[in-house]
Amino acid sequence: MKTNVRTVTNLGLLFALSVVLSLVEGLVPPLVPSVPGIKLGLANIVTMYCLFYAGWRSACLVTLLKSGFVFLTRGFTAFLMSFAGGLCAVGIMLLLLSFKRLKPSYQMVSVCGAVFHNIGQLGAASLLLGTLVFGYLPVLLLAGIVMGLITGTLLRIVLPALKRFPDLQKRGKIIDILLFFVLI
Amino acid sequence: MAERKSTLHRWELIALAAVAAVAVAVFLLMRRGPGTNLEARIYHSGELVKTVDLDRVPDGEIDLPGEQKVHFEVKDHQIRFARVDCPDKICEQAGFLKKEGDIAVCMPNQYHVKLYSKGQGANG
Repeated sequence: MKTNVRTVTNLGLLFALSVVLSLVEGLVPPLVPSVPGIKLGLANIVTMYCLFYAGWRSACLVTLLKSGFVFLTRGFTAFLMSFAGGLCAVGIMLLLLSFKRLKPSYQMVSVCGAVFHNIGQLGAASLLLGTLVFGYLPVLLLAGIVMGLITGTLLRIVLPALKRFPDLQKRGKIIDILLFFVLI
Repeated sequence: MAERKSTLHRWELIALAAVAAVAVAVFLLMRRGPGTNLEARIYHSGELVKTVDLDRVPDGEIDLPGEQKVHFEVKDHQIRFARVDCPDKICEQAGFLKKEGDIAVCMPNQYHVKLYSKGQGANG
């Protein structure tokens, strides 16, 4: 029970960290004013950490919870954009990590996550608006590459501190997930 | 989890450079369209609600019938979102649209405006 509670608590901390990072990057002025929507993607650092050290279920859970938070604070449209982007990012990062022979670097995984996050959001926007809005794609691709390199480097820098969560290396169980929802 | 390389492998660098090059090329090609003989098409939830001839409409604000939250401004044959009631103002930050293919989107209000050559099909 102690281990389950600790796992749930650590996941809660990661979720909170993901939310705070999203809020902080929202305070940063637009990086390229003529192309809105370019963000640092700092929350992706938490997602990547979960993928590398806590398992894919933890990563999906943190992504889902963050999208839920967006839904509660900014409504359905923002939720759909966040969820679509997060799902695509986690999906491509999982796919990349499954190619064990490739051994992609932190930066490459981060870049792919950032780029596909943007693609997912453009897809959601297209769905909502009823028309393709991929005119932004070239700039968002470039931005994803740059931001992905930055967040990948940031992950590498903070890893020594994050590695102090030893219990997260065990895969979460369903009861852990349910307990987490009960606690929040 | 095994430790990973902290810098990019050579194949990763090549792949990223190729993607970046393609993105730049596509961006430049998309920006090659003319800046005249354009019309702005305003859509709400995928439905065309108004077409603005940028060569004929005088400078000023454009309102949509029955819409209080979203306004547009035309200036020097360009158009932009103006005085939009939305939480993030991303649409206003897109600024003035001036070339064929330029697009600005307001997700919370589900509006988007895109520039087309006059007479071009809706999805062209």
